Amino acid sequence: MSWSEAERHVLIIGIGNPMRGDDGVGPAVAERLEQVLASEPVRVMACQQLLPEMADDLSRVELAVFIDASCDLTPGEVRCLPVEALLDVPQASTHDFDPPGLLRLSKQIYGRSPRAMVVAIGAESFEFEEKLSPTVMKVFDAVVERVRQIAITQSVGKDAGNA
Amino acid sequence: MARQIVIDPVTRIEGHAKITILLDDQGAVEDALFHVTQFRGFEKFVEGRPFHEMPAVMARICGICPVSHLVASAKACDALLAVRIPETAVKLRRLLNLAQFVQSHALSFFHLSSPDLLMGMDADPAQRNIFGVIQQQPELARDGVRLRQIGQKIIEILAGKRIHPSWVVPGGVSNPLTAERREQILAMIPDAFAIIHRTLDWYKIAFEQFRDEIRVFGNIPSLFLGLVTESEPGEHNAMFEHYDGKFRFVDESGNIVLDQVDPARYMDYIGEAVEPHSYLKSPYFKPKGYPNGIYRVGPLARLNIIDRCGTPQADREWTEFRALRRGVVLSSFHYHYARLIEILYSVETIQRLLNEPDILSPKVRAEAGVNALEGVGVSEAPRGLLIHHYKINEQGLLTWANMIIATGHNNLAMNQSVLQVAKHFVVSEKLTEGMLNRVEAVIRCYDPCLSCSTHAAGKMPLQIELKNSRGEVIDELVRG
Repeated sequence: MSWSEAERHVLIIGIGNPMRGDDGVGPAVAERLEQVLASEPVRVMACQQLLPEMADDLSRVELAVFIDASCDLTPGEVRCLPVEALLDVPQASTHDFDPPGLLRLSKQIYGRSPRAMVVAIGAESFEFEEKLSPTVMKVFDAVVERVRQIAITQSVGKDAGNA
Repeated sequence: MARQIVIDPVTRIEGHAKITILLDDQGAVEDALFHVTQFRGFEKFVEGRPFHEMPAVMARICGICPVSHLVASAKACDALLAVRIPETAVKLRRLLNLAQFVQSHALSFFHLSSPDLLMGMDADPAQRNIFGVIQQQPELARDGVRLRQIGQKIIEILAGKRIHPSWVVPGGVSNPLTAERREQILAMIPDAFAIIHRTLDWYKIAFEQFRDEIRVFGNIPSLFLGLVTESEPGEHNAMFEHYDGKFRFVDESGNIVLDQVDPARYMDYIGEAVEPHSYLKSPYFKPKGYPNGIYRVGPLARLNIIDRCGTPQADREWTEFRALRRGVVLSSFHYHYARLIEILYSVETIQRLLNEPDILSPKVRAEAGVNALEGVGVSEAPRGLLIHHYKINEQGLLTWANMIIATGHNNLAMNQSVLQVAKHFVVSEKLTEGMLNRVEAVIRCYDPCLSCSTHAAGKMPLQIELKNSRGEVIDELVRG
């Protein structure tokens, strides 16, 4: 089944540079989710950094999930945090627009922003390489499954009028 | 006692850097240094990799201007194939590159610099940001987001959804444009025109309040370098050229110093000096030596080296722009103005290219193997001239790579600009917000991209420090 943009209530954004080792985990998870969620009303994006025009994308969905590598967590540790909680937690990385900033932009320009969470994955290496470390690879499938569950729950909930 | 001020980090630029201001024994500014504290990476990283991977790999240098690296890299690979790519492929690459100008210039003007322009340099930093712009002038903020969106959407329509498109390949592009996609792009053009005209009207009134800054924001003599269309010497008919063309150097009086030079010969004219305080190299015009061979690239330089833009609306704006000063425009403050005119030119040219009869031609790629072991690709990126230079072995594997990026070309000018601003605004040993803001703002005029210029594939913070003659830090400011 194919879905129109207007029917996609969940937006997943994988953030990072695939040429910097574990920094590429966000885009890698997003790429896998694009396959496993192909039949769901979920939109998946991958980017090197968050950009202001994504505020428009955010304003059109009910839930946003940001997936990003973290240099603050223990390598391999995975944390799912509502975006509000990030205001008190060191930012996962130094991307110019962080998720709270982008959500604020969405709210102020378009009048709405979705509920949002960040899935942070503790990174081991940011060296120049196009592969994930064994430590991050160990948790990779679990992260994919966790985000898939979150996305499906939300999209089903929306269909049932529970969003 | 001599003192030193360091700004670390400089905010609202792409990437991070650090500024050091040195005071003499009387408390007057003696020198200023713009440091980039990132390390180089990509030139070594790519050694041993197949050349045909380069466009996609090089696009990863930067999350803001991947298309620029994609285009310059593909052109270097075209040279390795030793092919002449199909005309339609050239046009499609031009379209992509100009869409990149629209989105990148929009980011610089609306998101990074409009807070300074709207609220003034002395406004509270807590308000002087894009959210403050939304509160004071929501239409300006919305226009900024929309214009970037249009640029990004054109890139997406042409090259696919990924931020680092792989549509541009050695020999051309991988797929032709369809009629449906052409119409999708054309449908956005009226909106883009409306926004850029509205913004130009606003800016031409707004910049009047910055006369003091215009006078000292990098208002320095220098050469200007960029690409221009091919023309006969003495014709004075050289126009904007953002994809191909020849080098032209113009001096601070508007005299053409060098013209119609093959960009592949860049090493004959551009040297790269290394300074111990920064990872960013300092390119210079070889015939004048280092550091006298200071030159600027980017929007201001491009508007200073041409004889006209080549599109009717941009030509009208260019005439007004050049009337700011008899001859070339020297103040780096006017990079902002130049950026807006380039957006207008880009939108006009995108529209023109899309209406050319062969734009939907299926012939968009020349196939070939390795036919040369060295290739240079040069194009204009939003921030200025971009050079990719590769050497490969018979198996097509990279043995050497050199890149000179816009922010690097402007390094000497940025240092002199910071010094000029510091000399004018640093009037005591006390750090003030207004002074710090102006030192940062002059850097933002150049819209430096430090990820690109150091090829570091990432970002790191920058800071402002005050030191005495013995090198002791006596004050420090860290923001962002």
